[in-house]
Amino acid sequence: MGGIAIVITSGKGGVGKTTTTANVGIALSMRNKKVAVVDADIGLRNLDVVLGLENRVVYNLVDVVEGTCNVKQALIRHKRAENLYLLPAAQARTKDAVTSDQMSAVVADLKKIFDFVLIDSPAGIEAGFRNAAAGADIALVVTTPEVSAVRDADRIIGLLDSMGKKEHSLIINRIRPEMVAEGNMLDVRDVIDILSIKLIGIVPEDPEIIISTNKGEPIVMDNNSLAGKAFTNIARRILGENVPWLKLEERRKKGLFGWLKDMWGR
Amino acid sequence: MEREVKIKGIKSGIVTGIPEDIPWNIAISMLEKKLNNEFFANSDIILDIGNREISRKEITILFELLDTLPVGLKGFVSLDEKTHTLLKKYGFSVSRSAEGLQNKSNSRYETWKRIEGTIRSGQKIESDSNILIIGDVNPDGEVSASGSIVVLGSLRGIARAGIRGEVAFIVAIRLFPQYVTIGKYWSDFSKEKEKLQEKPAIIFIEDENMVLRYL
Repeated sequence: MGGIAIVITSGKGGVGKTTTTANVGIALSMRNKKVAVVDADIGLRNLDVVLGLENRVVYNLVDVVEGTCNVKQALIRHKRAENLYLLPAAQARTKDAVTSDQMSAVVADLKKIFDFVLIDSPAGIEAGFRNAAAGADIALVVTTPEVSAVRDADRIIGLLDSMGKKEHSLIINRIRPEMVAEGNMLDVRDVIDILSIKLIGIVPEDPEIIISTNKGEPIVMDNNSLAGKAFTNIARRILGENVPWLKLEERRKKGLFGWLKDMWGR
Repeated sequence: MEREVKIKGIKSGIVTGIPEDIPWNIAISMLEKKLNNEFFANSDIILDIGNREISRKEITILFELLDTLPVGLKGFVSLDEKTHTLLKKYGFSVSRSAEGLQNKSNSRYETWKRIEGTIRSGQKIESDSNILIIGDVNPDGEVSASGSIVVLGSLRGIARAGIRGEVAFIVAIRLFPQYVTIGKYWSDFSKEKEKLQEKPAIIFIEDENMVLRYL
């Protein structure tokens, strides 16, 4: 059997691709799947930091492509999630260091060993994105409920279609139910109305995320976080489970001031 | 009977005769070979199908072929009653003789380029005739036609009709465009934006003004 390759992409930068890749990757690995996460953002690598593995990077994706090492030598096993391996990007190179064919070949190799290969795509629509998507079977498109992010996500979906990557699902990240209720933020339905693709995840805005990415401790490993539960649910849906949507208004129990305190760290 | 696609030029255009008794798919591929040539770019052809009776499915296959060729379709010469009626129903010019087509209006604007699916941000659809979109046109998606545009969905992007200055209209089921143009007229409906409704509407030019009317 072979594994499934999933590219996590968005068009827009900063909407949560890397956070999603790390957390969904860990969540899948915690369900006994062998997972490889690949950082395709050559020159601006972040997946290693978010996973807390930046001190362990010896070889990277470009080394593998150039034949300096084999893929097993470059893979870094996660300290706590033992089924998760990271193939980091090179930091000292740029996006033209690899071609689409080379990326596809590396992904194909990884699919032989792993159940899931998650590819963290760079922002943009140029070669970096195309290379990241080249070897993928499925695309997860990440957007935030903002007009500009949705515009970019639409563009990316159009490009994925034209590349023949027609299996795509949507993750709406950083949603703030209070703002939606006030009419100041796009609703899930508004986003789906425009993007017209299957929804696989809704992740609430959570101040804990910044703390977790800075510390390199993915939030799915924290049982109390709503965002962590949302990422876990995405992993469960990928595995075919029918998971009901989280009630995001739960955070109201903390009260407005409780939430504000978290936001501003006081 | 003839076994080949024959082409001859007359005053009203280039007449392409399709032999009557060969299977349609073979006729289509013969047509494709003959017409897929720079020589015919931007010409209008007249298809002479004689006594042949063609079905709706066969017309669709023909239509799909013509979409890929550099030629325009001026009309048909058909001697079969049923086919004559069917072609007319689809908006084609039909006559019993090539000369008879000479006086018909420019049939470019009687054909509809049909697109199924959503036009996404950054995608651009152009046509020298009319365009029918069965889907949405998303923001920063663009549809541009010499003729008219119909969107069986939400028009949230950009629609340009009548780009050569001809009379044209724009129809959408839900109309919230970034802007639309018909010929030299332009509007983003910014004044009406608060009041734009989720109802089918048509946009056209009347008395030198762009008018939006709910259907």
